[in-house]
Amino acid sequence: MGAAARRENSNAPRDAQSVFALERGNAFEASLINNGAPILLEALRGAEVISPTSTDFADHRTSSNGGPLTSLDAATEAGHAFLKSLAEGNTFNGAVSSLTVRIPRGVMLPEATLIIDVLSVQIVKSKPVIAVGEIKTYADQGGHTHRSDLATARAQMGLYVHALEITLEDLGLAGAVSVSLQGFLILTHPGSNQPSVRSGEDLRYQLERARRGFELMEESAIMLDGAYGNADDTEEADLLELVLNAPTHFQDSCITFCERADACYQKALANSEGVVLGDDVARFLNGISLQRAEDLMNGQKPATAAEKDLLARLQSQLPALP
Amino acid sequence: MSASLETVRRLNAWAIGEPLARGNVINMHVADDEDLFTVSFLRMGGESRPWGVAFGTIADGPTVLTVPEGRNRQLVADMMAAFAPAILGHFRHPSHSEDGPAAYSTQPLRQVWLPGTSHIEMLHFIAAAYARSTWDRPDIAVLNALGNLANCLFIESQRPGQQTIVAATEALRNSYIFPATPVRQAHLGYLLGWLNGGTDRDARMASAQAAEKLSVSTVLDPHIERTVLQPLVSAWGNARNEGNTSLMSVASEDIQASLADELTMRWHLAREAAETVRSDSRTVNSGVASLCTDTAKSFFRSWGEKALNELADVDAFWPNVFTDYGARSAGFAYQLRAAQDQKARHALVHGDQELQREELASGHGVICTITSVATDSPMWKVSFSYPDLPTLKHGDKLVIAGTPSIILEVHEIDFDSHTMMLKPTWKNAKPKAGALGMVPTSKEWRGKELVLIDEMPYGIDERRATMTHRKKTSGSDITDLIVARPRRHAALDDDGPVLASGDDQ
Repeated sequence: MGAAARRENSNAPRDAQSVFALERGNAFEASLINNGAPILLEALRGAEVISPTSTDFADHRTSSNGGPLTSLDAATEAGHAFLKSLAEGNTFNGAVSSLTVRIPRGVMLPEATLIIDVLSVQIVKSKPVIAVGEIKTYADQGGHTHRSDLATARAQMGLYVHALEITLEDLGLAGAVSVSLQGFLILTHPGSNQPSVRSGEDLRYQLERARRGFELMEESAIMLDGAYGNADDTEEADLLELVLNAPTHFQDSCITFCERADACYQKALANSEGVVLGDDVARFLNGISLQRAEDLMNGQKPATAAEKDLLARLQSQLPALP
Repeated sequence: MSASLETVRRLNAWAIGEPLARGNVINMHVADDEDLFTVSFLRMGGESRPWGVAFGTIADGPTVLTVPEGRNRQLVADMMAAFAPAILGHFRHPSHSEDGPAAYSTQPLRQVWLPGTSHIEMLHFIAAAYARSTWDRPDIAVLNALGNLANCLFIESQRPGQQTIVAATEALRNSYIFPATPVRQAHLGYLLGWLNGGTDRDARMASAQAAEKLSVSTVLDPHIERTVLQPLVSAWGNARNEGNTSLMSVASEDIQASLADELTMRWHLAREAAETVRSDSRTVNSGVASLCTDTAKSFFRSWGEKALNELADVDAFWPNVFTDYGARSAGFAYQLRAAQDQKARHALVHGDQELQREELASGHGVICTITSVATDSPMWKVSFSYPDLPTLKHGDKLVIAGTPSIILEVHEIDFDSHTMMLKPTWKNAKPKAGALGMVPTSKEWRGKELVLIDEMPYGIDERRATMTHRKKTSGSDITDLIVARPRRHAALDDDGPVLASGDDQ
């Protein structure tokens, strides 16, 4: 999307993330995991994610991230082998870092690889129960932690739970290993590199959301019916053209994450779309252009029933005081 | 206020091509130059402690403090210890001011303005770092005091109606309606571009969009971090590892210069926002004075009194940085906020016709004409013309807009005929209420067209808050079962050792 944004506007920002923040993230994760992960295990025991006697740790990071595994394929093999070993009854009581799973291919969607930051493993009633954890470097501000940050992390964990469920199903291990519907977040203490663990994160609804998201993606892929991604248009330049020429639907949320938001905003402004003043204005105008609304406000007569209705709504908001 | 009302207002602002004044009065206090302390912060990406701070009253201008390495707790604490006396002195901390804090004082209310909410959030980070720190430093008491003030300011910033701490973006949005999506209205430069950036819509919009490209939050533009500051910070770190003090000094000065530009830019934006609101031609709502009095009392209770107690070696009971802990105190805080929200609206609505119109549009009042006045016992019959369906019922209390001491009780209401029987709650004339202070049985009331609005009985929520606060463990309350896990504090020794060489490696 960044390349598309820079094609539309050569001045579009190139640095999406702070170099210092990236360094901090890497340093924090490394401090948790290096040397057998004593800090991570201690934090997880303290938050009762794992039992006080849990000491096992497995590092599934690839060498590019400071781990022992040579490649993503090797990490995936190790991840699947780990799940199989749990199902076969091998005892493991502790945590795994960067467990990698490959979600099987759908009817139309390609297979996908997911790396789970931390996976905890506990034996409950002789059956292994795995729970997903997400590492974030932002500070745990107690009750003042940003709700949106927490919601994003929880949504991610819901996706991991879904991925684990379908991977276990695909590997034929669904009956032998349980996936917990409670996850945990590993944040930092403010101004410190010490972990602060939030356990007991309820992921039932996020799991359902992820499941539905996958279904929708699958439905969308089926509807496209192979229109894109064929042999003819897999060149990068062709794909970029496809992205640039695809219809867009600019809205408020685009501003917060999409690199093309500025170009789409300018297009909406040129087309006099109400959305340039916000999603609520677009809904309020109900298809009438901003310019036409301005004309009506400046005294022009409404020409259609929709314009009459808009004018009435524009005029009836507040009473005149005596 | 309803969502569609804001939508229409935004369309009106767009049609006239500039920000629209919100109402015909200003609903906030803006202190004089010497009482208005402005602070802006910067932090390194991913960090939560400050990398630099610009501070000072408008009268004195900004002082800038920075450290070359924002990840070095030692350096950052030194910087904060240098910043602390200025802000503590501004709020009349007993150890840093000759005056001392007071609930009832003829001295003007002191304010702190910050560019936006991310800067206010820095206060919480500072509180988390220093409020309860047991760090073995000679200036730890100053850092503790700074942390506690920062925490109290952060908590105060969430209290409806408070006038102590102001996010400049919020002050502008409360005073003007901007022809832009709310998502963009969190950027101070963008708002000021619309206000002061030209004479027509295109010029203002271009100015706002240009300003929006510059970061004004507590973090720098990632491009500036990567291309300008990362090489300098690396150079400083390398020089320190090599023990090369002259190279350290050069890198440090370059970092200071770069950060100072960014900090002063943010500081001046906050100053410009304060001056824009203060120089607005509208008068200040007469209710703001009572909000200021209330603020002085409230902030004294939440901070000043505790600072005095601490100095006198009496338990200060500083609020926790992270949580209310118990369900009882959380419930108390919730009820109190609800009460304060109503109280603030009550203070302002009588001096602001726009707020009165909003109340009416929400059904919390009526525009009515008195059709008959009983002369034996106080009872009025009124017919209301707006709204069609008020949200009133038997027993509700109404007041005459602009005259809150004149209270009427709804005795009967007939929505079909748009009539009500109202019972005045006063008997004798009220000279202080002016022309409307007549006895309720006076025939002069007949034919008068009045705006009656809901009394906003904030006292009920205040009493509810008190009851919640006093509630003892009953043994049968579900909240008794909620046990908060003790939260380890970031600033205690378990934060890890603070090394003399710094901890930024």
